[in-house]
Amino acid sequence: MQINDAQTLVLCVLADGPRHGYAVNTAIEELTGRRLGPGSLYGALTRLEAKGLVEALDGDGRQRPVRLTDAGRGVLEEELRAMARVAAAGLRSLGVAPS
Amino acid sequence: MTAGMTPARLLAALYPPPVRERWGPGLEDEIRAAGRRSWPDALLRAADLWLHPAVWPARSPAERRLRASAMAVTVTALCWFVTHVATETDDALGGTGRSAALTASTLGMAAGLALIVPLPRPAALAAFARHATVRGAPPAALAALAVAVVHTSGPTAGHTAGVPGWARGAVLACWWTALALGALQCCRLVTVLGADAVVAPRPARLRLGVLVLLAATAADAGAVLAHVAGAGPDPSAALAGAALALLAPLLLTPLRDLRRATT
Repeated sequence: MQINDAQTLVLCVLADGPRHGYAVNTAIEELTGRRLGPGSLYGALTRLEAKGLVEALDGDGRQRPVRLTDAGRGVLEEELRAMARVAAAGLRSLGVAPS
Repeated sequence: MTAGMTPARLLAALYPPPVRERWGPGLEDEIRAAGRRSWPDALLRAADLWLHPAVWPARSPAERRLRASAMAVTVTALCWFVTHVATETDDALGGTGRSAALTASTLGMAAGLALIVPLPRPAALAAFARHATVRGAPPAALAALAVAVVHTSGPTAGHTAGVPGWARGAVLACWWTALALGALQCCRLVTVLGADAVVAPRPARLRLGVLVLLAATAADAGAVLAHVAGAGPDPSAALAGAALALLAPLLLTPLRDLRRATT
């Protein structure tokens, strides 16, 4: 895995299109039921930007929107496929059919 | 707290300047919206980001390498400082301070620093000299004061009879503060001037230099801890050895961050 949980969540919600930080966290809350801490959110954005997986766009308000790069899309797909394989294997071992 | 300085703004201000410039307003809004329960997370991540300067928003890979080298210089300076304080204050360890192992590690540190230290660009030499003079003046004055006091009254030069303990402590504190401040100002000089004024080390050279520094600081920690193991209970040496053992691995973080960073 190249990225951690917070980074995967951020990439996931950015797959829908560019968002600013607050909107990223709101989308994560809708997806998982809880928001990331502010430090975790912006720490993840900082690291993802350094890896070239997201890029900050010029914003007209207080916050800068962020979008997924092509490299970010590729890494996200790879991570999600790996997670899907792990989930499928785990469910099989438990004897539970994937929903 | 000054007027207008809310807890959210204060916490956001603890983040490294390039992170604040990129995400500051959003970070502040998020801390304000999440309230008190978000403060530990905000504090912890601020500390974490200070330990990873190579991932801060940068204009170029050279800027990331410059920050990585500044971090390596800072950690090395801290290790040297801890060893220096330990050998100066602990008579038993002072003997070890003259040992071959500590001498070799000091030489290793010097070699590693020579490999990674960013060099001033010829066009920026004047600015570099100006900043170095301004920033270096306070620690140089403090060190000169300590040396002058030692030479006029001799409280630390072996003539301690009749010299109050507090006077000896004050001179030593003055000397260590000067050394710590000098090391800190050297690192700040590089980061303040930035990639326009200094040349960042090339990736291979930086990697080699950091590995040499890692070996030297690990040898330093090993020599102090070996003394602790061999000489029996020595709390100050044990503290210094533990500090060195914690600091040395920090040298690896910029290398790891640079390997992952692609922009």
